[in-house]
Formats: sequence, structure tokens, C-alpha cells
Amino acid sequence: MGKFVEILEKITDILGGKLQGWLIFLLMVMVMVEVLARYLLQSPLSLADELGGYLLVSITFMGLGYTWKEGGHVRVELVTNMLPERIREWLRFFTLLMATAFCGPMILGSYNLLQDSLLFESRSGSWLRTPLVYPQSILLIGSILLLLQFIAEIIKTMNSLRNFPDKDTEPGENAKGNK
Amino acid sequence: MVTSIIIALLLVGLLFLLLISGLEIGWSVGIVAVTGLLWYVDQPVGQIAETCFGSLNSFTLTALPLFVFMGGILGNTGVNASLFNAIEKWVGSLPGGLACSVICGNAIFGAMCGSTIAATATFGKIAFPVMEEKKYSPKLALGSIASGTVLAPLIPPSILLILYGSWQGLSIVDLLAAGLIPGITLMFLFIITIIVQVKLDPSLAPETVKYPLNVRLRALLDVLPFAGVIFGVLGAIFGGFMTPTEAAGLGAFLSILLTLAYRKLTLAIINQSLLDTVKVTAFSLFIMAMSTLISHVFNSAGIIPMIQEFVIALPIGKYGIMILFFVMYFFMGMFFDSWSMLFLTFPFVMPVIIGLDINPIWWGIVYVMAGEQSTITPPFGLSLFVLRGVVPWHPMSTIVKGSLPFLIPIYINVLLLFLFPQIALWLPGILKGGGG
Repeated sequence: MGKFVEILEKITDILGGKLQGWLIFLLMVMVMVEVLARYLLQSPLSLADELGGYLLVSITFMGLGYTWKEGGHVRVELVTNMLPERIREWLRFFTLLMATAFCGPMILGSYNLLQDSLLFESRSGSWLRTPLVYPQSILLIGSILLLLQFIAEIIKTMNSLRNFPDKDTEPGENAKGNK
Repeated sequence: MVTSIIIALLLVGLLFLLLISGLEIGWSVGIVAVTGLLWYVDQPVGQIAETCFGSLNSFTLTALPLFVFMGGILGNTGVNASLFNAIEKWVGSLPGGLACSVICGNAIFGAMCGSTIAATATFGKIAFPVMEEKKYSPKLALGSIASGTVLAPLIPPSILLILYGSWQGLSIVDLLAAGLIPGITLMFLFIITIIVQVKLDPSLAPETVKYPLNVRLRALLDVLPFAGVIFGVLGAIFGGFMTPTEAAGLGAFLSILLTLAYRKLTLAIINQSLLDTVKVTAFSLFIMAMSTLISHVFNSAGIIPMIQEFVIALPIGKYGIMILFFVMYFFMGMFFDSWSMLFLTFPFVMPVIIGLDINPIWWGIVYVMAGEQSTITPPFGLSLFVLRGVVPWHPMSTIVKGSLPFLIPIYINVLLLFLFPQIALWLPGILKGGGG
């Protein structure tokens, strides 16, 4: 099981973390090239406007799972911190399940949107006339990537809940070993 | 009518429950929005994706990751250490000089990249050891470092204002311009707060030294590269040469050059800053997308117009309502940060502001202070926590006690804005008149 979690997190790290990070770098380069083209070549490319928006969709949606893994999503811990540790861990498990369930409407919704865009052959309003199916598919891929990370999180949490009293093992050993 | 009130209460109750159960804010909002979407307004599930795509596919918003990346590069390389040293040569002779230098350093850092959460950590690392060595009281030292964070979202470029403006469809340039003067007045009010504290209790800070003119002039030279970045970014925006997003790209690029010139930039730092930026972008914009969805649902259900009518009809007047909001943010700020509060409340607050015919640019500046007080109000204050991580040997109570006096200048600044709205609105007006 540990190996499986490892593979899932590797996928999250590469597709959700590193790749999106370098897309930000690409975004910066793209924006600078656009400015240079406008002032030096006197001919705006008008590419960055549209592609920048798509990149932002990608960084946000593809990055959801990675951000979750790194504990980057903000939540209110003030109230739960007052609970006994055992109850807090179960509550955390429960909220994790809810978040996972939310992947359902996210995946279904993105799938439906894609179907609509294919059916109506929706295109962007710019001169690129990008078929919207391409950028919109990021939502679906990102949601699935998020679901994979949630599966890894559920396995990790279940392990730590099972090992909670730490009867035979050194404290903390198990929780770390599964990472 | 009655059913929609019950539905609204149920949904808001569910949201509250999810939030305090520790579910991530984005998901709490999302689950409530989708519950309302499918169960009450009965719209297809594809609406979720459509709203997400619609609200995220925005070139204006791409300024957010670019400015965050810029802040990461400047913060992680620690080049602001030389900035701090240079400022100290000029401001250091004031009573509580190093604390005043921290405030000015935050203001200048804020003028470069729009958010100083990255800087709080570095200022904690750079300035605090010096202050401790020179026998500054930890209370004053930590308080000034934590509070200085409030300046960055006011002084352009401000990420918080970019989020607000692009989400609500306002002119980013106007908003950024509106923040400049209130940001400067707040900086002076902070410095006055420090001076008054030191005058009342001289044990808080040691006697300060005045540096000779040639040292000061040399320090000016050190600030020059930073000034170059600031004038590059702000000049590009206010001069009308670039959109805020392009200026953000330029800023990120310039900060890479700057840190390369200082020989501080490594590939590891670039990677780290990029990954940090992914996290900030994903967390904040997901909440934004979900809040857009909840706004859509509550509007379709007729709940938002109802709340709008109800609040506007309150017999406390326009200013009473705004003070009510301010008090609401004070209490919410104990649990949330300013970005989350923006997304959580503005679907409801904005229609009221528009309905009361309040200038949304001016309101944005007021909100920055209403929201940013949360970074220094316990029990959950973002910069309190960041700073605690840097100086774990000091109890949280010291940081909190040091920070609380700085709420007073924030409130004075808000009062000034209420009395003289022109503090915020004058500069955008000038830019419009002059720039065309």
C-alpha cells in the first residue's frame, strides 16, 4: 500500500507541482515577449492575453491536489484544535471523505461542460478561435488528479488511525513510514 | 419568500458547520454551493465547471501568480537584508529606530511585490536578531515586524486589491492608485505609534545613533536597485505603458535579474518560489471560483437581493452599515485571513455596497484595512503565526501584545478615509484626467 501511495504522490508532485510551477515561469516569459513585441516590433501578438488565462486555469486546477498534499489550502483549525486528539483525527478523516466526495460533482460537471463544448463546437472569441474543449479539459484532468491525491490521503489517514495507540511500534514511526 | 429564508439559513448554517469542522474553506464553500445548485435552484451540474472556467480564465488575474512569484524570489533570497540595512541609516535615528526601519522596509518591499507574508519571515530573521542584540524590547520589535505586513496590501501593487478588482470587475489601475496615499499615511501613523510608545516607555528601545551624511548617501546607493524595480513596475502601470499583469511579469523578471546581480539566486530558490506560488494560486483561486458559484446560486435563488434589501433597510444609515461590516470583519478576522474573508463575504457585501451607492474603489481600500487587521488579531493572525515560526523561543503572547497597539493607527487611517474619501480617490482621478 505504501508503494501505491508513493506513486500517487509522485504523480501529484510532477503534474500538479513542478509542471505548474514552470508554467508560471512560462507565463512570465510569455508576458515579457508580448510586451517586447508590442514596443519593439510594433506588432502585438495578442497571444498572452488568451493563453495566460488558460495557464491560470491550469495552475489553479492542476495544482489543487499538490496544494492539498502540502497543506496549502486554508482551513479553520481553531475549533478542532480544542478537541481531543483521537476525535480530531476522526473528524479530519470525515472532512477528508467529504472533500473526496466533492470530486464527484467536479468531475461530472467538467465532463458535462466538455460534452457541451464539443456538441456546440464552442470556440474562444479571439483571433486564435481556440476550440474551448482544449483548455476546458484541464478542469477534468485537474479534478481527476485531485481525486488520486485524495485516495492517497485516505490511505495515509486510515493507516494512522489504525496505528493510533502505537502499541508495538515506536511513536510516529508508522505515520512517517507511510509517507 | 419564507421558504427561501429558511433555505438561506440552512445553507449558511451548513457553511458555518463545515468551516468550523476544519474542512478546507474552498471545499466548504463548494459543497454548500453545489448543494444549493442541485437541490434548490435545480441547475445542471455542468454549471460548476462553467463557473470555474469563467472566473479563472482571466488575464487580469494572472498578475496574482506573477506578483507572488516575484515576492517569493525577493523574500527567499533575502536581498531585503541590504534594503533593511540601507533604510536603517536614514530612519534609524528616530526613537525606536530599528522598529521604524522595519515599517519602512515593509512599505518599500510592499511597493515591489504586493504581499509581505514572505517578507514577515525574512524581516523576522534579519531585523529581529539585530533588535534583540541592541536591547529592544521583544514586544515592540515583534509587534512592529508583525504589523508592518498590513502595509503591503495598501501600497501598490497590491495582490489583495488585484484579487478584489478582477473578481468584481473593477479597474485595477484605479484600485492600485487609490491605495498609494492611504498606504503612505498608514506608514507614518505606524511610525508615530512606535515613537509614542518609546516616548511613553523609554525602556522599550535603546538610544539611537545618527549616521553621518556620507554613510547615509552610500546607503542611498544600496537602495537604488530596489528603487529601479519599484519605478519599473509602478511606472509601467501608472504611466499606462503596461497592464498590471504585464507589469507583474516585468517585476518578476527584474527581481530575477536583481537577485542574480546580488549573487543570491539559485535554481533551488526559483523552484521553491514557483512551488510556493502554485500553492498560493491554487488555494486562493479555488476559493474564489467556489465563491463565484455560491454567488451565482444565491442570486438565482433570489437570496442575495433579499439580503441586500434587508441590510439596506436597517435603520442605521450608510455609515452605520459600513461600521457594522467593519465590526463583522474584526470578529471574522479572529478566524480567517483577509483573502478568505473577501471571498466568503463579498458575494453578500458587494450588492449592499453597490445598493448604497458607495464608491467600490474607496470601499476596496477600506476593506484592505478591515481585512488586514485580521493578520494581527489573535487567536488566528497570519503574520502572528508566520513570525512565531521564526522566533519560536518567544511566546505568542509577546507577539500579540506587541501587535495590538498597531490596531490604533489602522483605525485612525480608516477614520481618515471616512472623513476625507479623497485620500483614496484623488490619485485615480488625476491619473484618469492626465493619462486619458
